[in-house]
Amino acid sequence: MLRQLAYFTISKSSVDKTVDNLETSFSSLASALMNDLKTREKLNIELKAEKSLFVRFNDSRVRQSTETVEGRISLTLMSEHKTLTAELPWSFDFNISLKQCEQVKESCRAELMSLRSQVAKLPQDPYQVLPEGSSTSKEIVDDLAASESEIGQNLLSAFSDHPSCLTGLLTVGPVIRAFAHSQGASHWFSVNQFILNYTMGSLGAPERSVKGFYSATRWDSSELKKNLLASERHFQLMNRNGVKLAKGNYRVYLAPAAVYEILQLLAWDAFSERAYRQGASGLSRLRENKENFSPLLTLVENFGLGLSNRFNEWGELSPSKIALIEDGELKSNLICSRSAKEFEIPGNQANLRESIQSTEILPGQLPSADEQVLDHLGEGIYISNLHYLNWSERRSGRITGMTRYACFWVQRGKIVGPIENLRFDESIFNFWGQALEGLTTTRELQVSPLSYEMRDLGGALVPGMLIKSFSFTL
Amino acid sequence: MKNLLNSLKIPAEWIGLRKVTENWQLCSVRNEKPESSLHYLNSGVMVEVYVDGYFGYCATPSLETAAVQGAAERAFKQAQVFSQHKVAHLPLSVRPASVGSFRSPFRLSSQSLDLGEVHHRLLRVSQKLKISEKIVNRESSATFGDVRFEYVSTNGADITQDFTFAFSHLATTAWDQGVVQRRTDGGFLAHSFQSGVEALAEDILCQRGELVAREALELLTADECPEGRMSLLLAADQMMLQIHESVGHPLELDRILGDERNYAGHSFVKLKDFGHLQYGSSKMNVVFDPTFKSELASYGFDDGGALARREHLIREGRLLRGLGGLESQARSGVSGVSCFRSSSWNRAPIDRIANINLEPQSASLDDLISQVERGVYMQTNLSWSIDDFRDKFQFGCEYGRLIKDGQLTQTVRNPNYRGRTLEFWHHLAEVGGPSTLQWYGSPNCGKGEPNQLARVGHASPACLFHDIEIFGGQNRG
Repeated sequence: MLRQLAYFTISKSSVDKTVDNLETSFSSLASALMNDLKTREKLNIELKAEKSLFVRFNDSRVRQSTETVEGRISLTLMSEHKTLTAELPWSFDFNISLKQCEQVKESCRAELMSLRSQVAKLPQDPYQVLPEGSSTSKEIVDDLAASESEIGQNLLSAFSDHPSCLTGLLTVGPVIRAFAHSQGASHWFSVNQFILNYTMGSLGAPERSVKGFYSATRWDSSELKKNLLASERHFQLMNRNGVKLAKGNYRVYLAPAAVYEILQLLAWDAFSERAYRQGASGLSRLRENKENFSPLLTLVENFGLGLSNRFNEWGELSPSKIALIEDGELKSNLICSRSAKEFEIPGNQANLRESIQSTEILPGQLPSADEQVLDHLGEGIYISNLHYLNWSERRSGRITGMTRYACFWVQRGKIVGPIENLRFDESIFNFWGQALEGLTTTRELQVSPLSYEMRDLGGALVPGMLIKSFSFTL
Repeated sequence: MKNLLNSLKIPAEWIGLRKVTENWQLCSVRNEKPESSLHYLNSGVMVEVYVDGYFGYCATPSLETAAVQGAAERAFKQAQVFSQHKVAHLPLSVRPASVGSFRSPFRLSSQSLDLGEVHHRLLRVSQKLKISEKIVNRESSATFGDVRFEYVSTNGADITQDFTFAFSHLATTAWDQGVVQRRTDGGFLAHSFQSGVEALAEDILCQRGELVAREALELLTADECPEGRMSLLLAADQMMLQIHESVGHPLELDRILGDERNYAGHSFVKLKDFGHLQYGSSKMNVVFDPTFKSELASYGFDDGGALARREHLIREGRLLRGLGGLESQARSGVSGVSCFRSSSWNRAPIDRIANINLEPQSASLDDLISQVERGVYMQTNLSWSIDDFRDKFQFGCEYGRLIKDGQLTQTVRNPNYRGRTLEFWHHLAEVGGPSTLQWYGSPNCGKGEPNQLARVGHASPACLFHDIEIFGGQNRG
């Protein structure tokens, strides 16, 4: 059955003409390649592209600056139950000329011919997902309201306000994802955004640092100032005498950034149907009804947050929301169409990795202002950030990791001083289970700053969490 | 490349061009069904421009003269602005005018094997892994290809390096009555080398696979690893991770200089420690070695043109030298090595672990075991976590054997250990000899802002440590 789905969101006050030019070039390429297909051949085409300025800084001075314009085209040919993909560079700037567009077409056409000759030699793939339907979507967010150089200048001004204090990375520019297939699906996602990801603290005392993060699709220098001031307040607290805690169980408050670190670990395989079937999901006991999370916890994959493209590697549009955990119960795993075929179950248009990308944890009743959170914490550890999480025993949901940055010992609702960082080893079925005492009313939007090979999309909207008991081992 | 460089019209003191061309084939099979097949091509140029002690970078995927000229102009403008706010004035000597080449050793070229043949080979290997109905998941994958780095500069550097790689991975999951155990072939992509596709021969893969499947079944009925402080004997495939996380990363000079504070972290090592700090026991000798050509991160020159040489980082436990290229050496005043590397054309180079090897001594594996009254022999990394100063760590392995009164006894599952880096290396009691030495690699070391992956190699013998906190998969903490 053919599905017709259309989904449009366009928000732009200033049009980036080079990105528009890229969209036209991509459409033209897709048409040309679809015309080259032989009978019974199917083709998926994906584009990932970005135009980026990276400014890396250390102690409020510039360490390295890099500009890049790049794109990658992926061609997936399906023929006689066999599948083969080629990935090749989009070898031109976004402001591609007609002549260059023809050159891109020719190199893709040549690659398609190569794929055709090789795919015949492959074994048949019984779980092959063929293109279906002709869904379309277009999401464009291009409202940055400042040029890259203006944002760079703002950053340099911030350096002068905080000398010897800021280390991290500024990333600015558009990120694009596009898709087309031979049955007519066509998708475009483009977001022009910046990420200022920083640590406030001096090289002379690196253990006394705080983490800051400011990302949006619209630059606002007054918001930058507010963000830095908030970090400054925590930074002043780091000047208090340090507190060395023994290992053991403590009451803790996890700030939203710390909760996001936990979600990033879960993104690996925790909600993947395929991983569950292989015994590799850290939430297996939830699925097997051997454990439940707290009824306070509801976690939803929500593409309405605008953090990531809704279409996957097959051009399928994910539902706008997928309830994964509802009132503590597992409602659904992420099931891509390939897994649906393999395990003969309905899919929910998940991506190939079956990973969470644009997630929200619903808020709770805990007041969010620092003082009120500390009051509720009473005596325990305020954890601003976590670091280097990993499963220490996946089947039982045990996770190990470290506290990092501005983590404080709190007594009678008042911050005493920063702690020496501690290692924890704790089961998620405990700290998101019977030990979960509350979630804050307000939440923070956390955006993925990762850029391995190319910039990531995705993130989460998360509250802070109060945990009755959390086990520290070193 | 020289013609391209000579055509650029930029009033800069120095310009460098680094072109990278990649051609890879990747395929994976799971449960005797093809999972993915990919032909990966990548190419582009990074233009570096030097202005007043600062390098500006601009990357372009296009090799057309106009595009590279445009990139050079942007790099130049950027350098003019940011050089006024630079963290350090870098002398131009950090880009030596080296001339030379490097070539990976190989017998069978990447082009001699097509994806179809690789697939069918992996399917046959996967079938061999199915030695029981309890082996519910069988994975086999192969990645092979060529990468060419070309580097020219206006002060006369002219370097071409041709790399040929072959990576393979085998894994099985055994599942019975609620118990799940995963066993791999040395760890994820641990068999990654500079090699032709002779490394992907079917008989080699089958031989490795049979052991993986047998041991996965063994783990199903094994006891949990015991808890307590006792001796720890680490096989080479876990030593790889131990060296990587608790020697390689802490010694990166750019990390010590604070560049990584916001992402990968800092280090407990201070600049004043070089030449003085007793990092571990006198049995500990660690070298940076780019000269063993098959090891994954061997090369002739780093991405700044510095000649790659073998150097001791730690000798008889004493810390001598940092893992830092010429830029970090200039900033810190500390001796380093040629390790200024980028993942590809679209990233600026930074200090990276390359090949970091622990030198063997003389003990056989039996000798090492005979020295243990009570302990665990652990193989193959499963889980890893370390703090942002590279101090407090916790590592888990796939497979363990108890050692009692100098003898290997029963298999144990979920073996884990934790410790603090300096204390751990001071507990190094004995280092195995050449008979225990193994080479491994990983193409996935992550670091940097923006992020980059690097290929790394680690060779190590088996090593014995005493009085280490060990635990298994039961209530702990």
